Amino acid sequence: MTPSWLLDLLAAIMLAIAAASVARVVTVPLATIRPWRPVQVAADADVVHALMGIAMAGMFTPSLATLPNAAWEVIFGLAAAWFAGRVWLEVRGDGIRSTLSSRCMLHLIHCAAMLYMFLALSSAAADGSGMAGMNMGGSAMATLHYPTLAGVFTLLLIGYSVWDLDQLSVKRFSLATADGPATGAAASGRDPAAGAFLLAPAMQVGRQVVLGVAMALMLVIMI
Amino acid sequence: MDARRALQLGLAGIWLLDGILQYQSFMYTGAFGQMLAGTADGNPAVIARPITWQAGLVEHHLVVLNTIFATIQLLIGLGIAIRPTVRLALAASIAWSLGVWWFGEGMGGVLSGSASPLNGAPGAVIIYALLAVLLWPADRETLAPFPAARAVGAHAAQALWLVLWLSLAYFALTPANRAPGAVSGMIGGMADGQPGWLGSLIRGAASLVTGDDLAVSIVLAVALVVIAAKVYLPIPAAKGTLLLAIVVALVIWVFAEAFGMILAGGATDPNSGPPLVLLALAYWPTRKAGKTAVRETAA
Repeated sequence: MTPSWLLDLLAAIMLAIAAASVARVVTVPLATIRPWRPVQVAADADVVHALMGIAMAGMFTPSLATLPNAAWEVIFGLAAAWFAGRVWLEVRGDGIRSTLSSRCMLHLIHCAAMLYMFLALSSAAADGSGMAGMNMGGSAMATLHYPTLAGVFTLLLIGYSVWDLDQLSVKRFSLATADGPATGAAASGRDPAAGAFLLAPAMQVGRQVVLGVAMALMLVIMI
Repeated sequence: MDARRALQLGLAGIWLLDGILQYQSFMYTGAFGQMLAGTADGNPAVIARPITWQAGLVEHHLVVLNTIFATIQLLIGLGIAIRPTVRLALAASIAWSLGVWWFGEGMGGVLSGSASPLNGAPGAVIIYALLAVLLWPADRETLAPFPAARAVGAHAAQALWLVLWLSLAYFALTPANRAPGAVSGMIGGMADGQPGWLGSLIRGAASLVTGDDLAVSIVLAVALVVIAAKVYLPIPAAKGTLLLAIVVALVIWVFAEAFGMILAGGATDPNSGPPLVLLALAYWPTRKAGKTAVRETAA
């Protein structure tokens, strides 16, 4: 089975992602939150990243599990519905072609993948595997329902991660905020440089890549 | 986006998937070492002995070595996706592919007589290496007729295409692959452990070709020769053969390779289907080539 130290390492990375996302939410000045703007500071994405980091840490290392699977199912179900709504608005505004490459579509896929994983874990537990996370090795394999969905999510997550890395390397996503170096942070007395770093769109996309790869890894382990 | 860069990203995705698959629980069991050792079967001693030695080494240091293998593949994928490191990652991928082709795939069964286009011959990973060479970020020809010609030139790229597809046609007709029950047995054997719909699809395909194994091998070989002939055809016909190549690669991937057995667990890669599709796309005529051909026809 996948060694526990490796899963613990991944859990630590997930917690770091969650911490960075929380820090970003705390740093974002309320006035700059514009969830309808695609590559700007998007508080909803940060909140979801924080939740994903916490949830995945618990999946990799059961001792870090915080909420029951049913609670995570509700959370990611609601998050998926929220981003599905935003995708729908984008489709109405810009057409379906531009929506495929939008950030909201990616957030929707991430939320749907998380929902699928928790549903799979719950049904596996109901089938008698008695599992709460990934440390059971391949025990999910025998009871995982709809493995095709896991394969599809894996390919989508890898595809988006590769695309994002390419876009990051051509500096499509800025390492500074659109409104300057975290004006809100400066006004509130916090370190503006640290604020700018946290708020930079590139940082959010970078976290998304790490989450995407980790999620794909988790799905593959579950297959 | 530039067509070559898009294809590089496709290759990056495949490497990333390979790396992730290598972290599976199955790879941390003795079965992985046994799988490696099994690739020595039927190979000449000079090829087989290093494989057996290396499989033993992996079995003794399974956790460390498998984690290193998985991480290398993951880094290759990430490296190709990040533009400043694309050369380094492509170079590493060529070296790693050659090593895996020998030590992990027993050279795709090419020397043991077990190679078949239906089981991934000449080895998925050697097609990765070929793609890395063809998609190398250099421009030997400024007006390359297709993306694969940019780095190595049109003649070299066409020669590589011809060799690959003709060798696949040859493998389709080797005695082991045209024997009664060979094709249907190979396809039917992939159904175990698959999700219901895929298992049914594969079993249906196997029963469809049962009794007609020789005919299927001949039809497949003819299709592969037609694909190989792409290099001598004008652009419209060449596009047709490239489409045929994509269809053949996808049919093999679904019915004979069962998506590389990814959905059954324990797969190390998606097998030869996706890299063959990428390869065909790398030979798709560019718009410049199309305009040049139109000008020549008009003249």
